[in-house]
Amino acid sequence: MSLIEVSKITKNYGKKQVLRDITFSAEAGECIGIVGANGCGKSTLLKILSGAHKPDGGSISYNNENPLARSSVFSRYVGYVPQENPLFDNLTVLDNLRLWYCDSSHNLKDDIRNGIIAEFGIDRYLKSIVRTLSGGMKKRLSIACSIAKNPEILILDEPGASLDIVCKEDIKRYMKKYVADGGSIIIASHEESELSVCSRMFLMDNGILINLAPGTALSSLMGRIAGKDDNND
Amino acid sequence: MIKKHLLFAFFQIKSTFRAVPRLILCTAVFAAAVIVIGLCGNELLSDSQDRTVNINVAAVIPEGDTSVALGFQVISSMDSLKSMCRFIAMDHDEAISALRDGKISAIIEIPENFVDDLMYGKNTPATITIPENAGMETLIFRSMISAGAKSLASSESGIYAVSDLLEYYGYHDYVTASQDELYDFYMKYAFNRMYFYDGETVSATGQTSSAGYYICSGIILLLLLCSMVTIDRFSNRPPAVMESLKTGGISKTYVRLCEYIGVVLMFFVLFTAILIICSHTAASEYITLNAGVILSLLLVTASVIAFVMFLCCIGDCGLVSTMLVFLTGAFMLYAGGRIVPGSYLPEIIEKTGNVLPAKSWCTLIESAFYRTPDINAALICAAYAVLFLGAGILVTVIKGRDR
Repeated sequence: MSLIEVSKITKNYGKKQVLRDITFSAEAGECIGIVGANGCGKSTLLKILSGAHKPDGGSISYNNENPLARSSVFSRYVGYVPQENPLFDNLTVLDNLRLWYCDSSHNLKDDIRNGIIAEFGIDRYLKSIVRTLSGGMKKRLSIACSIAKNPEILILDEPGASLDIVCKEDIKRYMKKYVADGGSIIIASHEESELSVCSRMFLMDNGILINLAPGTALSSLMGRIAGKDDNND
Repeated sequence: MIKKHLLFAFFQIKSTFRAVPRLILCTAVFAAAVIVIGLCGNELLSDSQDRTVNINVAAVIPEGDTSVALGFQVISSMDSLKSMCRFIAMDHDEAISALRDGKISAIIEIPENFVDDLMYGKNTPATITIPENAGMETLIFRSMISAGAKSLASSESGIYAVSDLLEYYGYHDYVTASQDELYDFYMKYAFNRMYFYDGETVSATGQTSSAGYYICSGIILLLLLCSMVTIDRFSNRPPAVMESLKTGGISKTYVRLCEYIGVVLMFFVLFTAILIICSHTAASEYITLNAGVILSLLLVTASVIAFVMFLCCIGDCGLVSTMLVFLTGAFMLYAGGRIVPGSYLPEIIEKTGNVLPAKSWCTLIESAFYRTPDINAALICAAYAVLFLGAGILVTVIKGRDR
């Protein structure tokens, strides 16, 4: 049985069908990449997989458990890093971390000393108010918060968008480590370097998920990705 | 999971209290505005206590008729008339001219031999002239004349009845004496109304002094105005934050509830601090603190903030919500008789104000300060708090169903 089983997921916004019979599966330790034009439904799919949105039809199974029937399954299995900043801007970095670490088996102090928090360099900003941080540091903090509960699945929605190269490299390095430790990643991205970590890739086109052949270069998909920016993600 | 919920609530309250410095600044500004409104209202009430209706009436008396002149002097000194009417002796032409110029409201013209005719039982009418388009003063004067004539007729009939009775039983010698006695009684009562009426002071502010009345209204107005500063606390959070909370098991309803509790606690602490300071300064005459006042303040704060939160949920915060809070707040206080006392308002406005929440907010605070907390008002405040909180959460949930 696969860690992730997604079957015939559909989603409509009004009369517009955004997702059509999305079906795929992923094993533990796999990194799945999803590419596609802006507004093609990538973010919607990731939100459904993380439990933020509900699908109109279809089923999801995590390790043979049905999260659509019991929402606690989502929070147990999934760490979700949305495209925008999901943090509490008027709280400190430490308060944000404490909120997400409070029901985790991970020890926050240990992670600050030599875990992900130290690795991302967040430990230097613990007392800072989140809104004063740079975009890159906010993204690092978002990832740190999302994996506080040590989830088996990490869902990343364009994590490198508008970040500097150092931050992108940090995220890429962490993704490799996460997969190597047996976690699964589902990432939507336009970044070649982030997608290089993926073991499998899909193209989201007009609400349909198309399996791409191994080694497909992003540049070869330009024609199918371009010109669909209707901002429906 | 419970630990996460509690921690989230704590962080909400903590982040709300970060707004306290900004709130104190705004409170100072709004407090100045509220004090100005209070002073204006107080001035209005003080002024109205001295306000009297003054009607100038021309008295055209036959030249050399000392009896009639004396009669007018007596009438002018009657309590019931002197507070409203001023009789000015004029000749006929002067009086007509003054009436045309609007300097007087009516003319009473006494004919020649009026007193003699009266003494011999001949009914010689006096002429009263009022302008065609009579103003309020003229109408009042006409009513007074009518009431006076009826009163006089009643007195006269009483006197004649006694005379007839004495005649009937053969006490002819007593008739004149009894008439004199009865005239004396009548004049005594007519001169001094206190024989008929007990003195009773009626205040537009009820049992509360004007200052206390406006302090209570001011607290509610200040609470409403200051709450506009915290409208952003009830603004919709970015979708990413809400999605992240949802995946973490924290619902929108719980988020709203925590925001509400945070703002209520912040205002409660702030206003309690202000009242403690006031109770130790010059305002101590009007502000005393006890458990009843503290509990009432908490209840009123909870109710006011629930109302503000509800409007924020409807208006999606921002300018629309600010305007809604300001306009509805101002109207409720006005209609509830807290800016201008209810007795000065049109009946329909006053009736509307009685069922709006501001009435019970003010009543509870006022009763807590100056008597014992009004249990009815407390229950209504609690009901409004629950109602507005529930409605606000419902609106949030309905709006969140978009996707």
